[in-house]
Amino acid sequence: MKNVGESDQPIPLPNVSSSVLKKVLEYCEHHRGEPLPAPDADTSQDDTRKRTTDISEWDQKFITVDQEMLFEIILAANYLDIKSLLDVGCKTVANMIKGKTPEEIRKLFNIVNDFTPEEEVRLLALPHSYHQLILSFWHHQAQIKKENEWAEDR
Amino acid sequence: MSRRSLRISEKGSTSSTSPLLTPPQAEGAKGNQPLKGEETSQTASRKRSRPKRDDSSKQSLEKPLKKKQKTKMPKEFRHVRGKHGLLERLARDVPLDVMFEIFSYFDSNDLLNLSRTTRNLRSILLDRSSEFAWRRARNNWGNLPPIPEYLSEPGYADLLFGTHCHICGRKGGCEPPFWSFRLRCCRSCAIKTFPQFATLKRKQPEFYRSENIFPRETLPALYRGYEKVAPARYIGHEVMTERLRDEFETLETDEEQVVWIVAKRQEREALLEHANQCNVWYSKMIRNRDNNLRKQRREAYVRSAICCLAGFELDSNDARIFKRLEGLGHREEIDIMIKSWSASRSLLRHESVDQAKVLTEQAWKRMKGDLIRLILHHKEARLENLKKEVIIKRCLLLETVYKRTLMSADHRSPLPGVGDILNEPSIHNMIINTPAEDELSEAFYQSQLKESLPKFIEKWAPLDKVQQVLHVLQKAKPSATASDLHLASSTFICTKCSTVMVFPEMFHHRCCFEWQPNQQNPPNPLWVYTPKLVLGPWHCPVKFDAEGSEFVKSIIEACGLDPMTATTQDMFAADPLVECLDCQWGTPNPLRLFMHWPAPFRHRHIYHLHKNYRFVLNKSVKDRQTIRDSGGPYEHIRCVHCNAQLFQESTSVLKHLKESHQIILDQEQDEGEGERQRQQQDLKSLQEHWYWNPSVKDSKYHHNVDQRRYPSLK
Repeated sequence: MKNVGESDQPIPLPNVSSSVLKKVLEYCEHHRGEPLPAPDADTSQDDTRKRTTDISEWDQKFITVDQEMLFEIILAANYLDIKSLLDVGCKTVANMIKGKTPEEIRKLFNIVNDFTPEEEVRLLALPHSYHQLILSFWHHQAQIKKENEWAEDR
Repeated sequence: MSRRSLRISEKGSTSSTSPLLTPPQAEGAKGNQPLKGEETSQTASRKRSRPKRDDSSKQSLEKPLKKKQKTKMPKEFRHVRGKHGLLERLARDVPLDVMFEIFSYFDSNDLLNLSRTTRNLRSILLDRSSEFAWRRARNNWGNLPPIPEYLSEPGYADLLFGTHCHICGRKGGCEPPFWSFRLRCCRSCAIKTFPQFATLKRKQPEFYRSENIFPRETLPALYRGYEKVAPARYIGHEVMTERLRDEFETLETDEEQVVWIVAKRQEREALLEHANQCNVWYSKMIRNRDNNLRKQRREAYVRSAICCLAGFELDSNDARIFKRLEGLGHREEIDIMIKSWSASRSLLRHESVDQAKVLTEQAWKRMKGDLIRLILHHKEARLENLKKEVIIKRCLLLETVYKRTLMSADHRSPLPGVGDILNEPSIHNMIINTPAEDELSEAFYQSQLKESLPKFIEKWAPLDKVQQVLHVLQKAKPSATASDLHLASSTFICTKCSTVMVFPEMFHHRCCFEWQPNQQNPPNPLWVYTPKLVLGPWHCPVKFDAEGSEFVKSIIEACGLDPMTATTQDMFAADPLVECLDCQWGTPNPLRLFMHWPAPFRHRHIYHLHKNYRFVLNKSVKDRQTIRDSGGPYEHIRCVHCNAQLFQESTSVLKHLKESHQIILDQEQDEGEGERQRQQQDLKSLQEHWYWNPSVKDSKYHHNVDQRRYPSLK
């Protein structure tokens, strides 16, 4: 709001709906007076720091909303640059996904598996160059065997 | 981030389509297509599908539609899950920085699973630019071994956490990762794909054949029970081995070859070291995870119990059910059940209670009967147990008070046991029928016993009991009279435990007070509550011990007394000190066993029944004193005047008579040589002031004397 300065004019928030804004305000009201999280000065350390998904009790109750609202809150927090609310939203989504198999994740978020069966088989074996070699070797061996059998039959 | 600005700029156009309307199917979506194109293709597909649905609904009559509205599921039961497709929007609409913020909370396994959900996410996560997300996910594990140089981040995650066979794609049943081959597969695929290591090695150049540089893995032997069904197998990797050969053949000089071998050997050692670290880490992680799961389950269980205890504040199915039960007046019993570990388990883990479903009226009607039955059954069992506990406590307290009362009773005549007291209807009715809340104190029992014991002893008829023992003696000696019971040679044996005894020890022997519920008429109701805990009424399970009687006679004769007239009291007065010659342990300085009367005949019965018992009567005063010093003396006798227990010594008796009864006898002032001998003889002359104590336990008549400590003992 620094850019706007002191003004009586309404501030348009085209990307945030009223219901979401209410929720955001509820969050801000509850956390009013709390110190702001430290700026991302230590982003370089982020890679080495272990991150936990612990959420305080109030925040947990606050964020217990349906998936759509959760999504909107995350977007609004990002748009309004409310770091702590964004963290809570991200942690909640992370908690929903953590420890689940791909099938369970698809089921949870109602998304369709858009991989073809061939792709699915392929993605289970990650593209190791060595593995590709093995597969080619295996197929090569099978081919030789077939050819030998064919030759014997002849 | 470019995605962010794009999203904000296009928000106006995209916001018109609610995410709720986005169909879950996105078959046309391709990971590599630009975001805008993907959205348009989806909108198009939505337009195609929607009218079809609408048309079909329009074709149908309105009535069914109304019916549908009627059967609409209540709001509380509607699942919000699944209608939004958050993840799909996450990959499509959410700015990349937010998405990676979410990813930053994942570990490698979660990222791996996420990359296998949709093409969009896969293309994002497997992009080279996303490597930092994988690195951060790996760091989230904390102590995961570092990634080896030869693996990519997703590859490393897959090797560690994947469950699929890399060859056949089947899930589960894989061998641990083959770190040397950089893959994981099932046993059958491994056997089919990889040749035996020995065969492979034989084909390699002799120059480095014996070096530990070849990739090799082990398939452990398979057992079914204790039977080995498949042997262990060492497998090699043909392609990798061939590569090594190719590399080796490019080397020209011997020096280069040696350097190459050393490098390869080090490489292999590092790989094995890393593989070992990974295996250790993985097994530790699995163990910790199991422990955490167990801990969480336990905590959840305790938490639910605590919430229930704290007034059912927990907004759960349990709480709703318990509130209903509270309304039916079972609150108190539920509280008690939750405090007990086993009962709380049966309640909280009851199939009706332990459910995630919301409680409905119908469900409540179904479970109500079961739950109330469970609670009432618990209440009944609890009250019964409580009553039992109270009764046992009362019986044991009465036993303690009674035994204390008997301490000052005259033990020469038979005394009823606590079982006889409990068999008295007034007593057992008092114990059973007094409400559990009313405490029967020690003082109450004392006053009751003081008041009613003489009457009760009279009712118990001690003379009748003596007559019962006399009948036993008369079976062996028909001419025996009541006075013969007191003879030292009138020995008895318990038919239950084979303990030998003399009269009136059977009135202190435990077997004579065992419960006999079948023979009791009317049966004592206490038996239901206190089986074997409290003694029963006295009975006479003894018979005459003829063999023991003969042995006793021999001792009596050795003491210079007449077996036909010598009583047990006379034997106590004579106090023969018998040494068992068969019970000596160790050489050259043995541990010797000395016994006071009546221990010798009991000792013979237990240890030397079928042998010629070798014993010595030790009469030396000096030796007696030495033996006394090794342990004892014990309170084997009682005062005739006050029934106090006294040491089996004349000095002790004289001192007691003087202090407690102001009886001063001349013998006390004797001093000088042979004093002890005189005192011992004087115990006979003091017989009118003491009697032997039939309630003393056997062990107190024995002395184990160590010859090393008392070398002067002859």
